[in-house]
Amino acid sequence: MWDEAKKSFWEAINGWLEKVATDLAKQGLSLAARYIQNGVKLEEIPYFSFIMVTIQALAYGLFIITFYKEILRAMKEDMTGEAQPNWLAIVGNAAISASLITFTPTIIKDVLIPISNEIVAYIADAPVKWNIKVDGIKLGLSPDVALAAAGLHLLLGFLIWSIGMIALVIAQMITYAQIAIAIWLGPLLASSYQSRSEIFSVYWKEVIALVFTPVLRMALFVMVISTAGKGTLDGLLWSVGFAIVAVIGPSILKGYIHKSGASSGIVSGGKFLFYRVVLTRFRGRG
Amino acid sequence: MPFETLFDKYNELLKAIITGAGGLAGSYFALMAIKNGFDYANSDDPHKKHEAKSGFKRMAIGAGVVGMATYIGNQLISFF
Repeated sequence: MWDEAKKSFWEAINGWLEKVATDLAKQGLSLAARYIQNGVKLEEIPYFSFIMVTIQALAYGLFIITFYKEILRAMKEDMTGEAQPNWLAIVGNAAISASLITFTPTIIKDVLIPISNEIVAYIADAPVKWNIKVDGIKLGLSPDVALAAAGLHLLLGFLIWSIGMIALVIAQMITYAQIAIAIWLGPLLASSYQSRSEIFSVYWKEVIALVFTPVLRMALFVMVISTAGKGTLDGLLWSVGFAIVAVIGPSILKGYIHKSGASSGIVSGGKFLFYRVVLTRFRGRG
Repeated sequence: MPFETLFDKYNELLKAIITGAGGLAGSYFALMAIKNGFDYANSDDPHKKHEAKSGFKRMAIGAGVVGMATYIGNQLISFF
């Protein structure tokens, strides 16, 4: 009698876990396929364009205020004899600032994000053995047959893995929200470029880290599926490990970008080019 | 506060800033014109005369920059 009770208890747990794990994994994989495999889709964010236009309008106002602030500061210094005004630098910085207000969202939306999406699509085409269209998951574990017989430890591992899938999707959505906020903040930061240009190199570091996070996440997603595909407990644990790294992806990228100085190089290179062009024209006319 | 009203208020604020900054710039030009004119007229030192002339040039460029800022500001206000 005791044996029978124990058996039915384990069967009930197995049945419940199987149902929960399969359902979670099914939903998790379908969402992951939609949000991780497809790259960044800004149209999924409500009111994105409306907020963008409003912020750009506000940024142009701030640009004018900062421009006047710089002019008045130069005049004050000239009047008190502290320093001679560098009008070329003031006008040049204002021109860069105005250009950045206009083009920062465009550069991110129409250049960086498409590049990131193309890389994601390339990685998604990698010949990994998975099949997310089945009813449940075929990872060596069939939800209909193998899961119930697989043993509780494997079922629990599968459940954790399924929750990991959902966490991965949530992390991807957080990245979407962060990218949207970064794009919205761009024009506002660009308006203060005239007085605090160093803030912009930090901004670009963050933006590049954020925009290319889905690439890193997609590569890790391939690992997640490949390792889970073994259908063993250690395979699932490897998979969970990769999923955790995929969830905390941005902090890894940020660390590397801050150390390599990639974005500050881009910003200072652009600045150097601008002054070079302006000075060449100036000399050419003079 | 409705969206249009918010932008109207913002534009009013910008107009006030442009007007105020324009006034300050005008005071600067007046003061610098007097200072440089005085230096130029009352000095026999060629170096000082040259400095006063440079001051006039800087002032003229400054006037151009202020004019440009005012034009851009007014264009932006009328655009939004």
